[in-house]
Amino acid sequence: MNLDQKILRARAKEISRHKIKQDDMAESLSVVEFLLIPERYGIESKYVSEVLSLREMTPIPGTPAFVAGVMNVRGKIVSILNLKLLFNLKERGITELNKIILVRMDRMEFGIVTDAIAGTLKVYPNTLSAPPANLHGINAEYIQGITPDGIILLNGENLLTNKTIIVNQK
Amino acid sequence: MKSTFNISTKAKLFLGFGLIIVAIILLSILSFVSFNNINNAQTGMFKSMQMERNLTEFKADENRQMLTMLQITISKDPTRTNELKKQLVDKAALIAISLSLIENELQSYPVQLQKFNEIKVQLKRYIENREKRLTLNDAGKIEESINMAREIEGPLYEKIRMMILEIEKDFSDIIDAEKAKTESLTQSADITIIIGSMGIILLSIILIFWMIRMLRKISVEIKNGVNILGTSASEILTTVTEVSTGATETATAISETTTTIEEIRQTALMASQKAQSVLENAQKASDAAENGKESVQQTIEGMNRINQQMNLIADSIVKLSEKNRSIGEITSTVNDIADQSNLLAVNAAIEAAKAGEQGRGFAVVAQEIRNLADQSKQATAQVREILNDIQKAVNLAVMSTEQGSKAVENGSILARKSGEMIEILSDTVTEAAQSVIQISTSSQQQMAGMDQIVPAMENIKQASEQNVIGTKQTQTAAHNLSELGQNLKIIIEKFNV
Repeated sequence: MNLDQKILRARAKEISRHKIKQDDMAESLSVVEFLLIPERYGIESKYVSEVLSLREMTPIPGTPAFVAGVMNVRGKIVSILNLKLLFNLKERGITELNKIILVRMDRMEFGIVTDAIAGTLKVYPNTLSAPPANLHGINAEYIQGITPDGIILLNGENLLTNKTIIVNQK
Repeated sequence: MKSTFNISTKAKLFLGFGLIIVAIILLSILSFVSFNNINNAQTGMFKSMQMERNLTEFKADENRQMLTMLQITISKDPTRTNELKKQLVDKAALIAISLSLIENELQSYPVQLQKFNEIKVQLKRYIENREKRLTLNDAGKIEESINMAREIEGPLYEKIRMMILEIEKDFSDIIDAEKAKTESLTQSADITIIIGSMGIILLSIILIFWMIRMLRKISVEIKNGVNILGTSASEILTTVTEVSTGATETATAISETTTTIEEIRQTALMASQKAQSVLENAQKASDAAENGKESVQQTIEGMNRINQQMNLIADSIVKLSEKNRSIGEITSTVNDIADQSNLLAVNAAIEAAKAGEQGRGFAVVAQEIRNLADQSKQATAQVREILNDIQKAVNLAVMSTEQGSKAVENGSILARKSGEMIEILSDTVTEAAQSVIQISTSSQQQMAGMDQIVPAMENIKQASEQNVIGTKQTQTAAHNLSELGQNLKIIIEKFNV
């Protein structure tokens, strides 16, 4: 078996897999996958307005620790949350290499600090498994389920409507 | 004796015998003197006696003259008278001679001479008287003559006789004195001779004892000497034997030495040859050292060139590093762009998903863009890795160049040192060459010396052979000496003093 045949075979395999995915497209969810090292998370694309790089974030004093600061996104001031603190993960500091996912539902919009954006993928809801009962730290209401790949799929609606993350302006 | 008087035996003997001879001579002189004295005394006595007899004879003559005169006076016969007269005159002449003789002899007796002179005066008167009587007789006056005889002649004669008797008496006394003197002299001479003889005998006895003692001493000393001679002879014999064996050993040693000398000669020859070859080698080494010096110089120059090259390399590496950095900046920019592209692709995908069925084609495009962004990211990652590798390599190269620079510097120093070493080596080699020349000359001298030693050894050999013969002769001589000592011992035993 020479090198060309190998390459051809690998390519054929790839194409056949895409076919299967395209067949089930109607029932699938489009999910943006991101990393909160060491875990992989996902959020449905319908809640995501935009992904962008972290630029000139201004910390706001007097806010809870999970509020990293505010950022100017094309003339719009958006607050940025650090989910690691919210999910009691190990904080490793924020740099300009971190990416921001702007999430939005109705009038609620804020950014989430991620370590990296992995990309978009299709998730079939019937393949999701319930979050494990011993999942400590993360409030179970934020989690929609866990994909067979081990991606924790966040519940965007709960996350965006949660009162705990709204800072009181009194 | 030897310790007290340091006189030789000969002198002692001379002294001893000389003493005796002197004593004998002294005794002889003494005896001679004594006998001479005695003789003188006896001669004097004899003379006195002669004188006495002469005087007696003279007295008798006068008496006879008187008698003849009487006969003349008495006789009647003229012939007879003439005969008597003639007799008287003859006698008178004889008496005159004898008188002069007596007078002569009386010269040494002055007292008696005086007396005699008186006698002579009286005799003259007497003779005159007699002449007178003769004339009277011739005249025939006999009576008158007789009277004259009776009155004058008689007393005169008597007087003369008395005077002669007196002188005779004197001489008799002299004789007695001389006799006594002679006797005393004889006695003293006897005593002197006896004492002298006794002294000589005593001296001789002492001398004999002394000589015996001396001889005994000499013989004892000779005996000791003979004993020493015997032991010495035996010692000489043993020594000579040792010397003989030693001479034999010497002979063997000499032959060994001769062979050794030959070996040494060979060795010296070899040394000379070796020295020659060493000299050549030294020359070669010196040339090599010269070449080495040049090489070292070239090495130093090469090192300097390498150093320059190294400096160039270092500069190039620094530039390379800078370029690398700018590449890194570019790649990071590319990476940023890829990142942004990725985000854009994600955003596009999200928008496509939101668009639903219409956005599906866009989603594929977005996916492709994303893939491209990923690829460019991977490429930039690879570039970065490569750049990192390059940077590492550059760092290594920098370190290496630094080390190389240091190494070059060290090499330079070492080369310089080796140059100095080579110079020292060259000097040493030159010195060694000079030494080798000296060695060569000295080994040649050694060879010459060996050539001289060989005949010398031959001479020594001959001398040692002669030595052996000589020692053999000495051995026999020592034997003879030993025998001589033995004989001397026997002789001394024989002449035991």
